[in-house]
Amino acid sequence: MKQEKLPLVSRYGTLSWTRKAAATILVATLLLETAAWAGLGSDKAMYVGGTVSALKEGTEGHVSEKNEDLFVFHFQDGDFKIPYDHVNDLEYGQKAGRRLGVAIAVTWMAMFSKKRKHYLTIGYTDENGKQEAAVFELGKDIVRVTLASLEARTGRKVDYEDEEARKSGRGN
Amino acid sequence: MRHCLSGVLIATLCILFLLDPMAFAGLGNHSAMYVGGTVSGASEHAEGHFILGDTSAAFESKSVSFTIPYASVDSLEYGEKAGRRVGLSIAISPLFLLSKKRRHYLTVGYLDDQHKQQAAVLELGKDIIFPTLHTLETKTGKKVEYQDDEARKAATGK
Repeated sequence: MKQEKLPLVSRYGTLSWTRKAAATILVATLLLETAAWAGLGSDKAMYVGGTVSALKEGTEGHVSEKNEDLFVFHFQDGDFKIPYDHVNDLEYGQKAGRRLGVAIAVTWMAMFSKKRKHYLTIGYTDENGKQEAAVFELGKDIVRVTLASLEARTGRKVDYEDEEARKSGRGN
Repeated sequence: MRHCLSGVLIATLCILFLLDPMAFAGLGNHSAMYVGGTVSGASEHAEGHFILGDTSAAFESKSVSFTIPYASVDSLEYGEKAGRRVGLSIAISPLFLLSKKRRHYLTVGYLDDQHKQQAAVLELGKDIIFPTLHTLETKTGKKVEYQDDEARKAATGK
């Protein structure tokens, strides 16, 4: 029995409905996936808040510990630098939440998985000797490296908010 | 023309789906990766091998190589990151959420030639964890600090 081949373009010059549906599902899935992953990039950092007047809250960028003397936060409009020898406090904490977005957009099974946000607080003195603080959210792939590098560069140990944060900070 | 365009569209989408899981491919079981740290001139995420010699450990890759003399090591930390396979669960099947993927991290703290403190964070392939930690403990005389009991058990079996 000869099977009729499904026309890609119908006699009316449009895509057949099955192919339209397939293409729509594929596009929608890809878009939803991107939306579900929205958030801070895994190798990025964001200035969340603190006493730094030069930085707006919510400024995204990248942190770097490559300079031997300065901790650098690179953002679109410039660089924010903290000399390591001015740092007098390092704290790390995290906030865990359920993946509600992914659960709604893709699958309810995502409710079993947790999404964590990672926060680093750097306490330091400015050039006038005034105490300042900067809170950064770190992307998940740079937590471990950033904390280890800061400990090495500043000679200070990171204070972990709790045992779970210590575990998470050292595990990644 | 439309026929051709829709074909290209479908092919592109299929390729994107196939490439997506590949983006989650991990490190080779016997390989190591310099994830980051304070090693000067070393580019992050360089994949290579962590070679344990008689007097020093060396990381070698195409773009990065550095040596850490055992005598200069002052701390060893080992931790794991266990994550759900969210990417694969979205791309292929939600059942992947039931499985965990582990990454293994070793942080070596050491003093450089100028006696400055340095740190190198390495990701280790799963087949070299135990020999690497065991050798480093023996050669440096330092104990590995484990993130938690689960990490200790995974690394040493105890």
